[in-house]
Amino acid sequence: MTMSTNIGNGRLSRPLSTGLRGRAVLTAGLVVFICAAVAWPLRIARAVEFVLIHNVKTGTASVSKSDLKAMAIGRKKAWPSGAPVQLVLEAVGAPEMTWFALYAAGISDETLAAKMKQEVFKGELRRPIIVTSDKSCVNAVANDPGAVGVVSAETAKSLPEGVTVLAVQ
Amino acid sequence: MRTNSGGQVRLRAWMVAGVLVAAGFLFARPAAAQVSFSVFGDVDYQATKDNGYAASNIPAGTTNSFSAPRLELFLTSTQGKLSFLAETMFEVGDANEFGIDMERIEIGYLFSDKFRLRVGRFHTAIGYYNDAYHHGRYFQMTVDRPTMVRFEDEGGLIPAHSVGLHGDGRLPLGGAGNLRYDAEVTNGRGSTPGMVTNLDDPNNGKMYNLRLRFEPTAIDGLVIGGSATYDVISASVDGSGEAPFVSIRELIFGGHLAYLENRIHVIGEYLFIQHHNDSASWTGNTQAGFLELGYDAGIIGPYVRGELAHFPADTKTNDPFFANNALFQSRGSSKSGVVGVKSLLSDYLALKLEGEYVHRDDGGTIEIVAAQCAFAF
Repeated sequence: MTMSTNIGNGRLSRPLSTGLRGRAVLTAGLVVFICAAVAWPLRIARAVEFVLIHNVKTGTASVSKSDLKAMAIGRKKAWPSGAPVQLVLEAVGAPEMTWFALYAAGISDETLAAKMKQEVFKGELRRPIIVTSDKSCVNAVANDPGAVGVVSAETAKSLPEGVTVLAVQ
Repeated sequence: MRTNSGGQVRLRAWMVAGVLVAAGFLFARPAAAQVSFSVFGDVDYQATKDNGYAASNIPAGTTNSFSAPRLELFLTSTQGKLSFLAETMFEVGDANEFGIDMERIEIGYLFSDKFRLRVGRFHTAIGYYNDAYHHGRYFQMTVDRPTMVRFEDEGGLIPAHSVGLHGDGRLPLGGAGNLRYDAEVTNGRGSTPGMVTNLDDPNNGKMYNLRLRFEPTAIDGLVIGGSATYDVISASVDGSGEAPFVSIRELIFGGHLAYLENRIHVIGEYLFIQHHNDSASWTGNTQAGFLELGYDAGIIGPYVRGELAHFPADTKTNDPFFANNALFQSRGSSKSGVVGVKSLLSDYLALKLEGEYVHRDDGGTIEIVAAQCAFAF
């Protein structure tokens, strides 16, 4: 009602309109700020909701943090069962890859990917299988007796037979 | 009748069983191995000012050239515990023409973390640099490899490539760290420094090489190691690869240290090479080393490297093998330094710019400015 009154009044419409626009900008800014404030912790929360999964034929239920890093860069090549380590990862930039690089090696996903490229070239690391979703990651892990991959904790709640969560000590 | 009927039933049962078994074989057959494919290479510019080297009749002069020296196709595949790797290089030779070289062909079988066996042609496990960096220049910090570990046809002092057997593994040493070993039995050197014994071993004697490395837990990423190599070379006296030959016993001892973590780049190596010429009853010791330091900051990575090489004074008369080595002929005993910067423009492209100064102990210097665009797709 106020708005239509103001609009009807040529003299007052301009200052009132500016005020409204200012309030609108302020409100929008506040909304963006709140969204960002809410989304940022959610993003962090999401970042810690990933887990490692592996094929049960690896012959172990857990690995040490140092062994995990050694596997990521080709220093450790086989599981206790003798199965060759096969990494199943998403591409650089994907949250799963970012999480894995930081968790396993303490470095950015780009740095880890560059390191992996060099280790593949040296013949020390098997070329990682690149997947595009949790589902394809689970499938790839199920199909390789030495595979280890990263999925969301939610996906890990219902894994098929032969694939389990890998504990890291 | 009853017997016949029973026989037919049995026959049908066997046929069905046979079909099932055949189908089982057919469908249980492992999926075809997938071969992954990468491409590496570089495009360069180099300007060289040489003050001349009388010992090898090298005149003073300045040269500068653009070059597209190599393109490499890199194949890998794995099937269970088996692995395959091949590095095929299209490389420009002295006649300005491209030729094809098979740089690596490796078939590997991973028994466990403690033992992997590889057969084929591979980079010899001497020092750190030789099998940490291969032909793709994208990965190495500098434009060229350190002179002492350059490839056979570029004047390196070591047998960079070997053909034969390679075993390696990693043994845990409790909380102290890990011991990595590499053991090799190969054809060894050819009759000239540039020859790799891909097909024939000229003297049938094998080269034996052992490298041990310690990877301490306390400093993650640090590698400290040493290697020992034994070979007998049938060296061509005139460097042509043809008779007459001289028998030279070669012993190579090396030590190395590397740390490539937290963006810090440190590689140091030392080589002691003893040649014993039976016919001249002569023994000479060649020594070489380098220290490469860098800060791998991605977009800008500065680096420096210092190198030295020292040949016995009478190498030319008593050691026909090293007398025909490209490094000995072009530089002799020398000291050199490299300063440069590497910039990783993307995951696929690296630019490098560097300057090098070489001081020959017998007089004369070389000044080099080089730029390189190296790619890895």
